[in-house]
Amino acid sequence: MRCIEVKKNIDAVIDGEATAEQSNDLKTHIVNCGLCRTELKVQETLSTYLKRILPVSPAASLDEKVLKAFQLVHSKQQVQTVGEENRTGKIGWFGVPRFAYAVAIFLLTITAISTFQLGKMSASELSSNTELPQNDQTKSEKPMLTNIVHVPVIQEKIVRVPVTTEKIITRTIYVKKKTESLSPKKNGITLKSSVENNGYLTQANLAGFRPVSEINLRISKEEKENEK
Amino acid sequence: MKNGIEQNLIDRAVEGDAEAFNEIYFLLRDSIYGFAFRMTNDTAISDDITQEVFMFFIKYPEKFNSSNGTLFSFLCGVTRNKIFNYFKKSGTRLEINNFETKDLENFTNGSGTSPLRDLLDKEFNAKVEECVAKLSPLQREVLLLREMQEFSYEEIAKITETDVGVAKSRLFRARRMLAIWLAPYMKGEEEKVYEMH
Repeated sequence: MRCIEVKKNIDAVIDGEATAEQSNDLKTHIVNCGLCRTELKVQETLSTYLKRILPVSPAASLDEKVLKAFQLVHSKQQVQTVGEENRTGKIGWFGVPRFAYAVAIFLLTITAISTFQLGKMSASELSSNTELPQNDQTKSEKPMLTNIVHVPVIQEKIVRVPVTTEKIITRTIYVKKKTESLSPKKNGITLKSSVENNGYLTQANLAGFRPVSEINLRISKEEKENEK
Repeated sequence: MKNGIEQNLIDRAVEGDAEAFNEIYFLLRDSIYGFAFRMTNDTAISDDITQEVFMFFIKYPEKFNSSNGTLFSFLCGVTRNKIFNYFKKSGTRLEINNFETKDLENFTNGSGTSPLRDLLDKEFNAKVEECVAKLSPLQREVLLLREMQEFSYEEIAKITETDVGVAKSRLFRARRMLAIWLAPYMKGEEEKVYEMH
């Protein structure tokens, strides 16, 4: 057998994967071939040393890390398993049925929505009252608010207004227009006293005379209640 | 034992039994973390990935189907996805080896004498780790799944979402690359065998 064919099987022989026939061929060949014998020896030596040299051990800290990680991963898996059981079973969290949770959440949702709507309505009213008028157009669009207040008539008040009568007694001296004399006696003209017989001189009586002086003799006031 | 976790134990862990989870975790912890660390070379990211992988199992237990493989291979697949997400974010190129010639020169100038006698030397161990880290992610994951986790070719193909032929090919190349890079540490004949071309 040629060297090149034998060398191909050296690895298999060293690794224990050669057939019996391949092993026998090699043994027979190396008896007479120094190069192949040397190569086999070198490879066997290297293989032995590699097996001895290559293995290494990690630091002790790795053990701790891995074992902790194992516990962590397993505890998470346990939690997941419990969660899955809860999903499939009737019992929910803390031993309360899942249906009770569903009802509670539904009620809470309804309450929240209604509260929100009420808040929204009151907020809109408030904004309409407090909103400042921006322009006439927007103002006209909004409905006018009219407040009708019914005030009951309780009593009727009668007001009495007093009537004051003022009497002024005046003495006026008249002279005849055409005469220059100031004395009535001199001209022979006599004027009757106005207070005589409660009579009054009229304008007709005074025709042809002109007043020259006037004296207020007395002023009297008299208040009289006037009913209306 | 890693590949023989009882279904009953898995069921209990999924149901939240901390004791069952602890048992599974401590059985698989080093393998998951080691795979993440050798792929990313970052302890903080490896811590995160390991934690995420176990949490993924707890959160999505239905994703695991025992008819498709063991829980260990399922979790390695999850780890691989998270690692490649990280590579995608960080912009790591999956098919390119990071080995440079100057690295080889440093190796040669290092101990330099009788590498086979010094196989147990710590420096050599460190160099092997360094060389593994410099493999392309696609080759490295196959090598790790085979050498660290001792998966069969078929399981490796399933985890890496390829076919068995591709997985074997990647493993073959990874081993040859390592042999070439470590050749300066090999004595006499071995150095001649694994010359750099």
